[in-house]
Amino acid sequence: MATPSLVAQPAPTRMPEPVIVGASIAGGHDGAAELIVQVRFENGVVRDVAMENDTGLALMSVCGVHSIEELAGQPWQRFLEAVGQVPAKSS
Amino acid sequence: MFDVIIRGGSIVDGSGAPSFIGDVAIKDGRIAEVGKVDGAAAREINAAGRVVAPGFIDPHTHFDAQLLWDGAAKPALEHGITTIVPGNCSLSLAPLKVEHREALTGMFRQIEELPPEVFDGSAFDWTWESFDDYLKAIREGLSVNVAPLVGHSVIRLWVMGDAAQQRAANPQEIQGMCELLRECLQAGAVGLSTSYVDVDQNLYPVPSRWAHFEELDALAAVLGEYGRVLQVVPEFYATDITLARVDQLAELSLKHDIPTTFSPLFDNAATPDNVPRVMARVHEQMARGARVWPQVQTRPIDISFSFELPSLFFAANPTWYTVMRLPYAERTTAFTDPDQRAKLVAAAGPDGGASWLGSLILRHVPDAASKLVGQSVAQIASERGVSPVEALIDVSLEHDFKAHFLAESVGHDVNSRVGPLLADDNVHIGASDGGAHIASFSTYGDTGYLFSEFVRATGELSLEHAVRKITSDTARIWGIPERGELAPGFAADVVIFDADTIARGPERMAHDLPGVAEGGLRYVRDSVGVETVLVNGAVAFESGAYTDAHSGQVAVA
Repeated sequence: MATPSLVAQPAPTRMPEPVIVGASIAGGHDGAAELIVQVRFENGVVRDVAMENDTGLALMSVCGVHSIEELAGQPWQRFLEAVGQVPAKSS
Repeated sequence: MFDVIIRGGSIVDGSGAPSFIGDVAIKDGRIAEVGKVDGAAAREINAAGRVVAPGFIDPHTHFDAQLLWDGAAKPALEHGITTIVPGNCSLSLAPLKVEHREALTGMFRQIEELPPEVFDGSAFDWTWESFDDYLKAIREGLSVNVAPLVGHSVIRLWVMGDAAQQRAANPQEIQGMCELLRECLQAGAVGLSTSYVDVDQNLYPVPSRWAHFEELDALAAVLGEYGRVLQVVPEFYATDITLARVDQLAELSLKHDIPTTFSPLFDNAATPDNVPRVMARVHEQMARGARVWPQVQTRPIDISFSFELPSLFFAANPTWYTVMRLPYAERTTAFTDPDQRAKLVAAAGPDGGASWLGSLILRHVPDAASKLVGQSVAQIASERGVSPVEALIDVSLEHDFKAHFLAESVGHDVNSRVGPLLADDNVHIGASDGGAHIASFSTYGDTGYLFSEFVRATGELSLEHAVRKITSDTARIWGIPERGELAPGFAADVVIFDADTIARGPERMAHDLPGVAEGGLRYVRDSVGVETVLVNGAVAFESGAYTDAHSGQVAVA
């Protein structure tokens, strides 16, 4: 058995970033509509993240989309940009 | 001679035991006898054909301000609720220094949607700073019992001032908070509430969100001295963070031997694995001996919106979404210009928007006398001979975009999923939010909904099980002594209702806020099937009307 150092290694590749893979509209606890996005992380796990109305609208604006269907494929980084556009809100 | 005997009812005593036909005798505000009662009473109530149960306990409310002018927390009492827990989500009205009133009421306005006039002295007099003095201010007028939480944000504000919303506390400040909490618990607070979610009127995180864990740990240690409750609003928008909070609460519960409860937890088709994952963690922690009670509401979730402000409601339809994001003037033009309007109508679907928009309910227009309110868009369309989408547009234009519509039951609405959750022994039925969100939707009638939907309609819970979940279970979880059961020596909080009809009434607008022009606006629901409610032995509601009784007490003092 060859030692690990002698095994040819593939060239390092850039880690994929989390990506939105789906979205839907749901009812929120406070009676407003919420945006639920499905995010696929680098390890392949898909998780839901809920956004209240203003943050969801900001995400769509940052992504330049006109329908939640168009959010699929958008990088998760856009969410961070959207949060920054919602004044003084940290959650 | 008893004060009251309730004769011949079907007694559901709150313990979960099978019902039986019998009498309940009351003397000096306490249950004296249960069963076959001989002797006479100053008043006898015939309960034949009706259920006689302990008064219901609502563990998640925001009636803190309302109690200052309405000791019945209307309409909670008429739904059979005899004990409420205000002060949730890190916010109570005491302890509060004069100089912090503006900051705190801003938080209350944000959460409860109470208009600012309520707090300017026209609805009540600010007579207190300490928790004890707040209780004195409400005590005389109480028609319901109150087991009040003290808010973490308020304690922080008292000790740290403006820094409460700027940084973590130092050891001296934490010590000051612990001493203040101790004082509140001695005055009658049932526990401490905190929040990781709420924001003030400027959308800035409330003070509790600035606390480091050491601070919460120290406060939980004080709760442990008294065996009192920690209530938490976790980051419920993300399952993984909620799971971490469940673990954190479990550690605090075990370390300090305290009950903890968190809310909300609700089922949603868009996030179907949320509840199963959270409940799996709750079961795991409960099995370790931790007390981590998720609160689950009975009612489904609705969405309300108007054309006035952008709403995600339209975000699945690109044509509508694009128009709704336009500035006001351009948005108006889009709905009035024939060509653009035609595109919007077409985009609503070949059925004229019937499937997408037809079931929407018109819930509010500026003209309070409008007969359209309460009708569905499909009904309005039918009466006008137009398509549902055209009716929606026309009604909105007629009211300058101030017509509000309701999409009913868009979450937490699948009874086959919600029913088993409510029946779970590790689930605490609550999270009504009574007294909050008053201008958005009604937070009343959840107990009636429990019986109409999950006892009668689906049979997921037996009558006895449902009563137990909202009476003795709640009293036990919260450590509220001698309430929640019909048993000798217990407080005589009793509700008499018709098991075949108890329900929540339809949502309606009320204009009954004191000191507010035209009474302000709040959404309420009347009770259905609740006939008589006694609080500490006094009849507080009967035959559809409130009495003058003010027999409510602070339930933990």
